[in-house]
Amino acid sequence: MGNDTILHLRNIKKSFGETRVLSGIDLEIQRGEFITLLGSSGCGKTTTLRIIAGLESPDSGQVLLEGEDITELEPNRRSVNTVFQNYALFPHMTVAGNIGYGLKIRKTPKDVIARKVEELLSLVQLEGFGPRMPGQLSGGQRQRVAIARAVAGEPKVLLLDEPLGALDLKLRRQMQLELKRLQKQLGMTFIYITHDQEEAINMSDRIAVMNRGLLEQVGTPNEVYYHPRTSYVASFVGSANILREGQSTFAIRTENVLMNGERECTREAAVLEKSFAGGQLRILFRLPDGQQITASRYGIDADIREGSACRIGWRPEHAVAVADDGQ
Amino acid sequence: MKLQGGKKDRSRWLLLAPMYVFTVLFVIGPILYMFLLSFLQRAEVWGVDFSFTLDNYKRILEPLYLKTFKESFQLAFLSTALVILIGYPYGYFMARMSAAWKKRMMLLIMVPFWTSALIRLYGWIIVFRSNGTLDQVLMGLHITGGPLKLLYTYPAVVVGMIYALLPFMILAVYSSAEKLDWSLVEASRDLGASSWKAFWTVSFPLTLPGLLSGVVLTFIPSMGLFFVADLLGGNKIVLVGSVIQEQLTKGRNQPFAAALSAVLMILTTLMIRLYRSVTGTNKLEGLM
Amino acid sequence: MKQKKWPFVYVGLVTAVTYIPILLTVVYSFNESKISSVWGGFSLKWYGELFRDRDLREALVNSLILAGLTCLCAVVIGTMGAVGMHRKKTRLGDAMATASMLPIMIPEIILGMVFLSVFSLMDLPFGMLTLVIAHTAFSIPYVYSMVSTRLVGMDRSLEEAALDLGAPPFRVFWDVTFPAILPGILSGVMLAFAMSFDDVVISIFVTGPAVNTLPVKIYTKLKTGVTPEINALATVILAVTVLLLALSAVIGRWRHPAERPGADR
Repeated sequence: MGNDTILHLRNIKKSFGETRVLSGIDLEIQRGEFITLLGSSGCGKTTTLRIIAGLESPDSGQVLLEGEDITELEPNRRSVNTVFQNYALFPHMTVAGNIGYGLKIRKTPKDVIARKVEELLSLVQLEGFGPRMPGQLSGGQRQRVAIARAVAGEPKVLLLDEPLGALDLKLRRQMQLELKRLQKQLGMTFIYITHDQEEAINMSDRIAVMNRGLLEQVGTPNEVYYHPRTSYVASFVGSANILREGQSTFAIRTENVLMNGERECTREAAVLEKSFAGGQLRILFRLPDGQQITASRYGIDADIREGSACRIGWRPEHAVAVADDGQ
Repeated sequence: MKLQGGKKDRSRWLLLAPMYVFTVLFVIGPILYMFLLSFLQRAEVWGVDFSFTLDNYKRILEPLYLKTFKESFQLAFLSTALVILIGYPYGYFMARMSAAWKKRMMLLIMVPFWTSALIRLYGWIIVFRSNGTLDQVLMGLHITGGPLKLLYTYPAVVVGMIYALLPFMILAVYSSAEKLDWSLVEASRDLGASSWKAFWTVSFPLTLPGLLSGVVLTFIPSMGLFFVADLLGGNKIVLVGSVIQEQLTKGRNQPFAAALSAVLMILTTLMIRLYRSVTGTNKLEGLM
Repeated sequence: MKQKKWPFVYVGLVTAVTYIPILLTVVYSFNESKISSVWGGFSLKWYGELFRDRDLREALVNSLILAGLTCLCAVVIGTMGAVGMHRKKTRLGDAMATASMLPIMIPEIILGMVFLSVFSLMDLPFGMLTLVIAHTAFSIPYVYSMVSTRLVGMDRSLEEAALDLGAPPFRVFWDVTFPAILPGILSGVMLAFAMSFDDVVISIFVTGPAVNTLPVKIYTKLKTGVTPEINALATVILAVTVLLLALSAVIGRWRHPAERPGADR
């Protein structure tokens, strides 16, 4: 990891009335990286984003942009722009008007704005859409306008608040690739929020997994997937089995569970049920101590009968010790 | 939305100041003054003597004035009831029309709404006066032998009131009925309710807010539209409003007028509160 | 429900009855004879009298000026108030909002009486000043509620987006908030104008000897003696009303294609 920190969150705490939303967030974000805040709803990721943008104020802690303390700086004075979840396009302005808005505020000359808008429109593949009104666009098109508008001012950091949530699956996958391409092309630092781990793994240089107001783990997709530090991270990213034995807790990826004659099958288990989900065959086992283990395989059937007894196991290096989160 | 603490508050107060000042000075203040006045005495020629008295309120309890209040309320109730009967179906049916018809109906309603009430009432004078249009039609059809002296009678005043206030009720009901989710009615029909039952158990309760606004917008003005009674009822129909006006202008008795107004205000406010607590709504639809 | 006929019949009937007096007024404005019930032939003489009637002309101008000034005051005070209240909900704010609504919640006669007394007490000259104050008092609620409704329905993230992109607070208001509340302001203005122009009761009490508003003038004329001149006046006002309504309908349709509120979901 390079040592070019562009944004530093120091011990950010925030409560809304009685509810403690952020319990001390510490994060250093590198220039030019695509980092995702991943977590389920209510974990505090949106609040964190809004604090970076300046739309909320933390109760304590600091936000440092390129070393400068911007914690109390108004949102309109920060070189940070946001792509809102519902796009928030100005309904009474044209697409060109929306994209050029930030530049207009800065009193950029009209011809420069016009040129920039054209550039951005082709960047997001919406050439010729300038004179249209937001109400005439589809969801995917609006989203691209929102992105173009947010990058127009060349902010130091771009914040994206679950921008793909409202799109259908196919379009979402397409947009994931496009966003990644865009980020590389612009070389801009992207901070992305989502609850979808697939998105996070596909797009990010690093993932910061959040749970109940705290960062549980920050690392590359590989690290987070293969070396989860807590049971929450293990079960949130990819599907994992959480096995509790004595004082320790282990996470075992379902695809790493071996059965029937494959080596390391040292544990007795009863086959509870077979099902097909997410393109994979899933077999649910019950261990003698009552805990359940799921194994996943490609294909639609395996030579195992429901209700029969079986032997399962896993390679020792696949059982990762994790902190028990209660997940 | 975040702005720096102090700046945000200051700009907010700047925005609110004119409205707050105006409201205190020209709404709250005057009404409080009215209550104050009602306990004072009238001065010799004009103006007010600042000596406390309950005479004004005692005077209201005299049979003459009690009668006036009673009659005013009767008229208001009657007018409101009739406006509901005529206006509710109208607004409801309007909401059920196709989009094209809705637009046309809105325009049709808007014309009387925006035209001065005085002028519209004048039309009724033409109709009602002796040998006026109504008489001519009825006599022409040989339904009546001679002129019905309808002008300057109670029914004429009632008609006038209804006429002046109907658009408000219609718009209030329409605004509420338009938002009605028709699929709820269909569901009740599906479960076996007759048209009437479906209306009464689904449509009516859900359009109640509109009806309530309409009642408020009808009842309150009807207590004060003394010029309707004046023009269509002449001297025969005397309402509280007329009395107040008389006391102020001819009688030069501000305190007594204030007492009358205070009582009127309390009574109308009580009525509205009562109605609201019974039906349980608090928003004034139909205005929006 | 299948399309039944009788709702239309009912609505049609009521509408017809509503329009009868209006139509009669118009018809008789062209009546040669002074007595409305007797048709003396077609004539425009009452229109002539109308245009020659200086009192009425003056009253009309007064009413227009009054309505204009009222709208101005009500719009400024009411809109500022609505925007200010929207920023933060406080108990004082709620109380003030309710209080400002009082003028339309109580019978006009009470308002008239109250203003008369207070203006006497303050020793204010009765005339345009007192008229404007009184009219503004009952106009503010309309503007306030119309603008408030628009504010409440407005997407908050739009203002945040403008801030985020670098707009200082007053630009946020001008570029985002104001366009969103503009329809509310216009509705409020129209309503305030109509209410002011049409007001009889309150104006009677707070007007001065020199200033006559049109409704008050008509009222006194109706009480003293009825001439078909009133019919002519009524017809003219009616024509103007219909024209304005038609105009606003056309404008509404013209702006529609370009200005669709973005759903932005």
